Amino acid sequence: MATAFLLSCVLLPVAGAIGMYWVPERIHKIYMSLVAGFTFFTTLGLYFLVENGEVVSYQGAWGSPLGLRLEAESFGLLFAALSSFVWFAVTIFSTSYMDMETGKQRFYFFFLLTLAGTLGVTLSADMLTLLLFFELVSLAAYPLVVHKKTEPAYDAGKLYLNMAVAGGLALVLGMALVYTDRGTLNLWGEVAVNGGSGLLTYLGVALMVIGFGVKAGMVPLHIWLPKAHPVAPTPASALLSGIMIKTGIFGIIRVINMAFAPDMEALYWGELETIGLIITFLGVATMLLGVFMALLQENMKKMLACHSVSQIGYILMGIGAAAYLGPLGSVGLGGAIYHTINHALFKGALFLVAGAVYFHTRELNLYRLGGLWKVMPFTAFIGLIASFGIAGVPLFNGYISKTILHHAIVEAAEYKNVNLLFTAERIFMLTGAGTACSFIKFYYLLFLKRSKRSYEKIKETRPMKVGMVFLGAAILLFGLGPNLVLERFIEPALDIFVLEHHHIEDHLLTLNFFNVKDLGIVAIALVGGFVIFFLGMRTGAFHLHLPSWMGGEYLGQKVGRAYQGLWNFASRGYYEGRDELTEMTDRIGSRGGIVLKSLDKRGGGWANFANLDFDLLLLIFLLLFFLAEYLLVA
Amino acid sequence: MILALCLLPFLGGFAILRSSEEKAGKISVIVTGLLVVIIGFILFFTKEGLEILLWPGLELSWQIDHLGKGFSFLVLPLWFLATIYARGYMEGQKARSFFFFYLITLGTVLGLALAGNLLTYYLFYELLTLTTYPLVIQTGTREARQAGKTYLIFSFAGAGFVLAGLFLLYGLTGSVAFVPGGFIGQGLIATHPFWAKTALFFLVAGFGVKGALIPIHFWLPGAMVAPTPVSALLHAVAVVKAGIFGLLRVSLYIFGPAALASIGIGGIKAWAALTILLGSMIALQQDKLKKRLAYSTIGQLSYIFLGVLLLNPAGLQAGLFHFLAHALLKITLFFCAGIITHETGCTKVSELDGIGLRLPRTMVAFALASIGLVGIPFTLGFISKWYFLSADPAWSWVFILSAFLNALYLFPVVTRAFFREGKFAPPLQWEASPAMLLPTLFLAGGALLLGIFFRLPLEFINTIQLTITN
Repeated sequence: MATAFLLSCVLLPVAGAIGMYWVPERIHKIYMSLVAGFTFFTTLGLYFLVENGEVVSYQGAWGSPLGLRLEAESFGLLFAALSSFVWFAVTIFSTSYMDMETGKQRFYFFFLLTLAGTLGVTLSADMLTLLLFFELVSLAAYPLVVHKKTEPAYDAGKLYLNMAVAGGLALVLGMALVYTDRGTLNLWGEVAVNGGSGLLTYLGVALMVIGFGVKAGMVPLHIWLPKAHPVAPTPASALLSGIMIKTGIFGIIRVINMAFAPDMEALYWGELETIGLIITFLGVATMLLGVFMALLQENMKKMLACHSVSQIGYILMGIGAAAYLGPLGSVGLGGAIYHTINHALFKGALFLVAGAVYFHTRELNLYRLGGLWKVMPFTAFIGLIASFGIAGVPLFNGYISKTILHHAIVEAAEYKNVNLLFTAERIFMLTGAGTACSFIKFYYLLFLKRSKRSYEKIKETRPMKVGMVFLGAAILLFGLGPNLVLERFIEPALDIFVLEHHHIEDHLLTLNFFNVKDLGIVAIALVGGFVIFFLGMRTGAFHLHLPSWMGGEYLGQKVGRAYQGLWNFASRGYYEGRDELTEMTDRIGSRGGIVLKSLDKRGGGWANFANLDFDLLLLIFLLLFFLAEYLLVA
Repeated sequence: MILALCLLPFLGGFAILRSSEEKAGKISVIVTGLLVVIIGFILFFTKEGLEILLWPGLELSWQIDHLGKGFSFLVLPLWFLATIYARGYMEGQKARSFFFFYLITLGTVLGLALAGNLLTYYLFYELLTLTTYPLVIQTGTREARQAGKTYLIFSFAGAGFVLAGLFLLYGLTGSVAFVPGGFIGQGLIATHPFWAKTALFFLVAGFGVKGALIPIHFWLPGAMVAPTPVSALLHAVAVVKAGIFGLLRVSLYIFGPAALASIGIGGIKAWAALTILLGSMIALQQDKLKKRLAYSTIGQLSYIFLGVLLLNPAGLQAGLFHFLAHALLKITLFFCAGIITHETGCTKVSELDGIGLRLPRTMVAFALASIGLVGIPFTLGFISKWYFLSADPAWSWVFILSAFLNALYLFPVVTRAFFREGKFAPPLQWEASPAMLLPTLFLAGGALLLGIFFRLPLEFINTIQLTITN
């Protein structure tokens, strides 16, 4: 029974996707909402089953390591429930939004396949199963990216697909190396880096972080993200940015904080510490770069996508801090998980707001919009909640998780008094200010500013409203009851990690969020945000366009072009050389042929044997050359 | 009994020759179907081999071992499907002789697969060139004749090398029989390192011609002028695999892992790795779909060889599994390419924008096979890749890099077909003649299923591997 629940989490969306091609078109909307809704409730049901202490797992019949293994535990299920919830909300939204798009059948087919993949990732019990679903997400998301069939979409799709495939291959290689070294691919701590682990394991871990990092949008592997997310239809952007990049985060947590964490009795945590430090800095770089890029965007969807990069940086920093602190890392990990949830909610909501605006105005440029609160009051309201959420205004969810993450980075810095980590904390603050500024700007330009264009009364459609309400309500819930959330959701999820239990209780569960110090920090960030906003608007700094050489993609294109140039050069040389050689052998051949023919009394024949002989001679010479080469070298 | 296996297709071939031009295709499908069943039965129940003494110490011999059986059981159903496909493809053409040669090639391949020593293998290796040459020049154009000539030159030169290797080997050891795990002791290599090496080199170079090691692969891309059923079956499965099969026989049944390890095969490994990478890199540059697939074949074939040369069980499993995986996936890709050309006349990748609308099922099959070849879990290609990677970390980067290149040259075909707008309209009834479409879909589905139920072939491969390592 329980196993059926587990399997149907993955199979229900797949069946729904296939069914998409069978149901008549007029009930598509209801059908989609039903499939997404059922999936959500199945996941929820599974969550409660597991919470009541039931062990739910499924083992494919083929044994390790290539067999399929699923297992539902609290941490994965939290992600699963979150994913299916946001998916459900976005699906409802999309039933109205997709009226403006063509090719809905195909869109929803891949939409549901991606959901299946995402849920599969969260429920996998070993690395190869995880990889299977991870690749499913990668491939199934491609049609969503290129759905609009415009040149920018194809461009972005190509970059996305190539990077996703490369990331997937890095993962395979990483897993193979770990398997060679450790002989297991179990996700539950059996491959711990526990003193004296070999170079292969390190290499494997690095490759896996790279592979997951591509999907998560970790700097410098983020370059596909700001291109690919905005070009998709908005529901897909919301899910790409809100949920799908989290599969990368999920993978990193699984690999770093779970599979490679030594067990409690281990004395030596140095290796995890190093890995944690590296990830922390990657996270800090990601958050800063992301927010910097976001400030310079004019396209609102692109701006939101850049913020996704930035927010992923927050999460990575939490993960890194947790790994760095080892068994005392509960704050970092709790913060990372909390922020993952929050980001999914507010980024989903923000994309839906942007989508609703685009649906009614067909305009994505922030600077050409304005004054929309009058015509779209409901959307403006949800936009306000979500902006408060992401900017970290107290009483909204972003404030809670950012505060936890701030605690985590301070704890990490104070742990061994590493100076660089104090710098990281300052960058954290700066990023907070940047984020605040960015959303002040977003909200001001979109809703408050007086507009040159006048809009007729817009009727906000009901499905869009419902979708946005779901996410907005969740944002409020997660902001208003932080300690309840920590106790009900985060603590059970942390249970399966190697963490000191009393540390969880002392440092995480009993956190008081509304004290002067934490509020003061947020106040500084918000004031900083206002200052940057005014400066930026006055000086026009937001309109700066970075020179193209600063983009990572530019570098990639350069490398690609250089490769192609080199290849063309070499192949031209090769063909010229070959032509000359052929000519030469032909000449020799025809002369030899004359001699041969004079000897051949029969005359004629079906083929020019003379020619044939000399080609053969050439081949034999070539092979003899290789033989000599081989004998001398080997 | 075992000789009957190889001779039956020749008899069947004469039945085709006696039919009229119009009915040749139909008859050959029936004959091939019957033969495949009969041969399959005989093969299943026959145990003992056959030896025909030429002179003392040297005989023509056939034996039934796991490896040969595996190869035979792989080609038999593929031959049947390819014949059905060929019937659809050659519809309305005078193709009696085509079907005749198509069928007798089956006999040759079976003779190769079940050959019990190198001499027999060599003879059938030569025969294979002769029976497939008419298929290459089937269209009769100037280009085809040119390609046919190149094919002959290269094949005979290769066979010449095999012969040289055979003589050397016989002179050194007095035996050319295939023995699981090899019969060349370390003593021989200690006493005659140079000649052992030379013999190995001659054999590798000789079989490497049909196995398409770069730079002795030239015949293969040229031979793509042949009708697609030929390219699909012969240049993706039978002929090239005959070369690779020869390499397997040489490295596992003549030299054996221990002897190879003491000879030192770093150079040959590097050669195979170079072929993998160069093949994929050249494929990336091709706009002609069939050429792209041809170079892809060149790269993929060396996977098998390199896997075996890693000289450990995982590498061997990987190589043998890829033997199967590549056969199924590449023949599917070629079938799809054939349907595309046959139905729309497009031969270039750049012309395929939006063709998914015209040929939806074909392109889905193409997509599945591409995904399989790149090695997304759990497809056939992934299983072999996984074993390749866990065989030897030092060489794993070659496979990963090549897989990435595979994605770079295969996925654009799929994305173009489905996600670009083109000039194609949806099909009215069948998108292609059922004789072509159904085998393609069957193979794509079969490859998908085998990727999920990979234990079945894997266990068979394990038995082969055990006979060699023990």
